[in-house]
Order: sequence, then structure tokens, then C-alpha cells
Amino acid sequence: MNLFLDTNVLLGYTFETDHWNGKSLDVISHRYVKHSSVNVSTEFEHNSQTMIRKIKGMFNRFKREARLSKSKKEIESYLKIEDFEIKCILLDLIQKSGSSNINDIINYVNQYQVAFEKRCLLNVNYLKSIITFHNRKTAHTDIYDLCVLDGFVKEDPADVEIVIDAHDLGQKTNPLYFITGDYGHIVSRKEFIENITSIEKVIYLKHFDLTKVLKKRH
Amino acid sequence: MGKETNYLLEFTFDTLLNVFNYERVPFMKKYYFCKLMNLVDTRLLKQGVDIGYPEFWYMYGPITDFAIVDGIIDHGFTNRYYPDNENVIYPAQHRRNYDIDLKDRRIIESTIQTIWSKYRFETGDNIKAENYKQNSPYKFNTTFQDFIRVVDNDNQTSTPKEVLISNLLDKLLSEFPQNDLSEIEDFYLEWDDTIRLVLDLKDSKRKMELVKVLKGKFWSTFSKGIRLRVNKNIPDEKLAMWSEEYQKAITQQYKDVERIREAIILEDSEINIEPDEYIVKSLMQTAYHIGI
Repeated sequence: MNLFLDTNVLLGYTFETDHWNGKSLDVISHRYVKHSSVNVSTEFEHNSQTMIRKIKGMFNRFKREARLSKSKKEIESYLKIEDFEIKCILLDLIQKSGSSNINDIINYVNQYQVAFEKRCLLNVNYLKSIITFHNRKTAHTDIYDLCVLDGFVKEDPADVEIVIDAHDLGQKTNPLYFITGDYGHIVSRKEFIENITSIEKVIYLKHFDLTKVLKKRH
Repeated sequence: MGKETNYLLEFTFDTLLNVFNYERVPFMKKYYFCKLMNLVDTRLLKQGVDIGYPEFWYMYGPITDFAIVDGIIDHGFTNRYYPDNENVIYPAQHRRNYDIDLKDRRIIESTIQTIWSKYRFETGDNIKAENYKQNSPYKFNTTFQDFIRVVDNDNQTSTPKEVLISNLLDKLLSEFPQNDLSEIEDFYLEWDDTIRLVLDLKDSKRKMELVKVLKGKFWSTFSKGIRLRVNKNIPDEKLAMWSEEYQKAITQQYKDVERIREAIILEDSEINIEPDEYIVKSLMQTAYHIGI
């Protein structure tokens, strides 16, 4: 039994969350063989890096202000003005640090930043260790042309490449289940994709329950 | 279209080299020449004489590109003034008539005499310090020269090196020109935070090696941004090339600094507290939701 994982599943696992109560974690913890593609890996690296950078950027800006501040009160005032997505977390951490000393506060907050980064990095490394990233060599223009006719290419050319990656792999590794959290571009075209490619089934991450999938198949 | 010879510039070069080194002794390195020219040009501009000297600020202060000057000096600058590719020398053959205003000629001559009286015994580094005093693009640039000095100094210091570096990082933080170089701000803050992470490492040899590597990665990139902003008489094609180099450097060096940071976080960093799981999870969820 082989799974092909789309970018959103890898992102969900990295950040231990998704829109469906961490279904990505269930997928990754499943014992079946996991595949993906170099295209997914590139997209995943770019997206995860951007997401981690955003959080680090907020921490870094906060720490800069803290280092340039004269008091805890000044730091808190700065946070109240700034429109940070992690503002409440930072305010909470300032309180939890239990100190009025700026360096203590920075060091305490820093521990959480490092903990966050470390956890994400370990998750990314784990994914890299258990997933085989398929590097497609064939263009499969027949499939691509059908995707053009369908309007899929126009909507999301990057997703088309990933579906073709899975098709390429599915020709050698069968049956291949394509797991994705992308409803708009992929799940909504489930039948179309299953009909024109070697992918056995497109499974919406929200509905991921492999026991059901297997029962249906037998 | 033929190139236009810049006689004002040629006259300035000839006068400067004649006054500073009539004997044609090969001692004046490009570094020293550029630092002197910065002082000369600054004074001339203040007196309303624009000699069209191509100049930009880079990693260690004001500098010129001899390839650009080649294009505006008859028979090329390198060929005439820099024959051994090591020393700038008063040319054996030089023009008698420069076709420039007498007034400009007098201002150039007197300015170079003043510079000679004031700086003839100064080292290149002292002249460079004067360049920074008079023309540093930002305080940040000046402070970074101190940072480079401290990081590159392998001798023992009375105050621990980590303390000196940390104090300079704080100073730099307050001086970073965030309005003018906003495109590099994220990279700068990541770099600053990573150096601080490195300073906590126990292995002092590895610590200092990494600080040196990180210093180079940031300074070479920031200087590319400065070069783009603080320059004069540089051809548009060159500026376009610099702009491309700058963008590429930000992307590449930012990634490199992140790789170093990741290695430290995974291998060396110690978390001294037991982080509240709920908060770490909240951070991860926030990252996911702002990215998706």
C-alpha cells in the first residue's frame, strides 16, 4: 500500500496542525509506504521556510525592541501597538518569565523561539527520513494536455505537475493513494484525476481514514 | 560614439600623484589612493568643482572601479596609472594642456596641497577613518568597521571578546538604517540573532570561527546594498548589474545563515527551561495558519 503525499500534508505534519484536527499527523504516523515528489519537496521547503521565517521575524523584531527598551513596561507598550500575530503569546511569555529584567525576559522568550524552531526542524528532518521523493523524468504530455482541456493547468499549473508526478510513480508503484488537503484544485477533480492517471484514489485529507479506504477496495 | 575624456579628473589624478609621489616610488596601493581621492573629491565638491570621479561605498569604505575610470581617461586609467596592477603611480608621460577652467585648476591644486599637508604622513587606515568621519553613509557602517576589527582580532583582550561583540551588536541594532534598507532587515535581524546564538556556544574555537563566517556573510551583502545607494558617476548598466547581484546575495546569504542557525539549534543549543507545550503548539499553529 503506497501513499503519495501532497505539500499540504507535509506542512500539516511540520507544524503539527491542519484544518482537520491534525489529520496530517495520522497520515504520517500510518505504517504504509510514503512517497512524494521532488516538486512537492521544493514547494514544501519554500512554504515551510516562509512560515518559519514569519514567526522568527516576529520574535526578532520583538527582541530588537526589547534590547533597545529601558523597561519591561516599555516592551509591553511596544507590543500593544504592534500588530503581531504572536502578540498574545509574547505578552504571556513576558508574564511567565517572572522577571522585570530585560535580559531575563529576552532569554526566556528566546527559549521558546528556539523550542519552536527545533520542533519544526525535527519534524522536517523526520519527514525527509521517511518519505521517498520521486524525481519524474517523463513529461506525460497526454495527461498534461487533458489537464489543459479541463482548465486545471490554467487554475494551478504547479498542482498539475504534482499530479503528473504521482501518475508517473503510480505506473510503477500500484496502487497509489494521493493524499491532499487541496479541495479547490484537486479533490474537486477527483474523478477526472482518477480516470486519466494511474492514481488509484484521490483522498481528501479531511476524510483520511485508511481502514475505510482499504475495506472499499477489497 | 567615442568616449569623452574627462580632463578635470585626469588633472586631479596627475596633480594628486605628482604632489604625493613625484619620484614615482611604487608605494600607493589602490586602497590608499581611493581613500585619498574620497577626501579630495569631498573638498572639491564643497567648493563647487565636480570632477566626475566614479565612486561608491563598499565593504571597507569609499572605492572606485578602475574599469569604469578606464573608460573616461585617455589610453585608460589602468594602463597609465596602474601599470603593475599593484600601485597607483604618477604617469611618466602626461598631458600639458588639460582644457579646463583656470579657476577649477587652481581649486584642484590648492585642495590637493591642503590634503597633502594634512595627510601625507597618515596611514591608509587613518585616512579611511577620516573618510568614515566625513562621509560614512550611516553610523551603522562606521560601527560595523569596529565590529570587523573586534571579530578579526585574534589576540587576547582585557574585556572578553564575547562581551565586546555583544555590545557592538546592541549598538548596531540601534543604528541599523531600517527605513533605507528595509529589503535586508529580516536577514539582518536573523543574522543578529544567530550571532548571539553562536556566542552562547561552549566551544570557543568553533564559536569564533562561526562569528567570522557570519560576519562575512552579512557584511558582503549589506555592502552590496550600500554600493547601490551611495555612489556617483557609475554607468547605468553597472548599477543594474549590482542590483541583480544584491538581490541574489540577500537570498543566498540569508539561506546560508539559516543553515548555520539550524545546525546550531539541532546540535548545540540547550533549552534551559521545560517549555510549556501549549505555547510551543500555539506558535506552530500560528505559523501554519498565517502561511496557508
